[in-house]
Amino acid sequence: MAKAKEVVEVVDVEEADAKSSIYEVGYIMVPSIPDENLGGEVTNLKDSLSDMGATFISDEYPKMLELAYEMTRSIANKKQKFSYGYFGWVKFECSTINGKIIKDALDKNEKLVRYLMIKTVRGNTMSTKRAYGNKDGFKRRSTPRVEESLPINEETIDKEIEALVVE
Amino acid sequence: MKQDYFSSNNIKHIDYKDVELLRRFLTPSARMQSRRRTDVTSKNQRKLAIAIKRSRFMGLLPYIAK
Repeated sequence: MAKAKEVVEVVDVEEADAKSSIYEVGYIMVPSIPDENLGGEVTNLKDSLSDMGATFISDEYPKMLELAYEMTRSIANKKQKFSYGYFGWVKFECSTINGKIIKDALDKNEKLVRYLMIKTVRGNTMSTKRAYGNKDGFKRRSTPRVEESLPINEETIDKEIEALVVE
Repeated sequence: MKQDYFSSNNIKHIDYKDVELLRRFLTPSARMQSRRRTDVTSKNQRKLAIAIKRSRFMGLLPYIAK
C-alpha cells in the first residue's frame, strides 16, 4: 500500500512541473511567399507547434499588410528589409517547458520576419473589429489643392468689366 | 469625474492586435497619451502601455508618425 502511495505522489510532482499555459503567437511572414503557398506555410508552422505539444484554441489566417515601419531580418546571413508582410496569429495551450522549445523553433524559422509570443487567456480578447495596417489615423490633414483654372483671355475680361461699368 | 474607458466598456484584456482601440490613446504623432489625458485607471494605463508597445514591435502601430 505504501508503495502505491509513493507512485501517486511522483505522478503529482511531474504534473506540477508540466504546468500548462495559454500562449498566443503573432507572426509576420515574409511577403515573398506566393498566395497559393501561404496555406502550406501556415500548415507547416501549425504542424511544428502541434509536434511540440501545442493544443490549438483559435487562430487567424495571415493577411498581407503594410508595416508601420521598415523591419530588417537576416535570412541566410543576408540582411533583408521588409515593408510588407503577412500578419497572422495562433492561440494554443501547452506546457511551460514546451513554450521555451517553441520559442527556440520560431527563432530559427526563416519564413518569419518577426514573431511575438505572449501569455494570454482562453477567451476572445478583441474588443472591436480589427483593421490593422490602416495608417490613415496618423496622416496629417492637408488642405486640398485648388485646381488651377484655365487661362482667361484679356478680351473676355475687358468685356466683363465693360458689362459691369454699364450696369 | 474621471471615467475609465475600459471599465465603462467592460474590457478586461487589452489586445495588441486591437489597433483601432489603441489608436484612440495615441497623439497624432503616435506618442502614448498620458494618464491625465486618457483618464483610465493606473492599472489599465499600464496594460494599455504594454499593448501599444507590443503592437509597435509587430509593426501594427508606428513608433513615431511624421
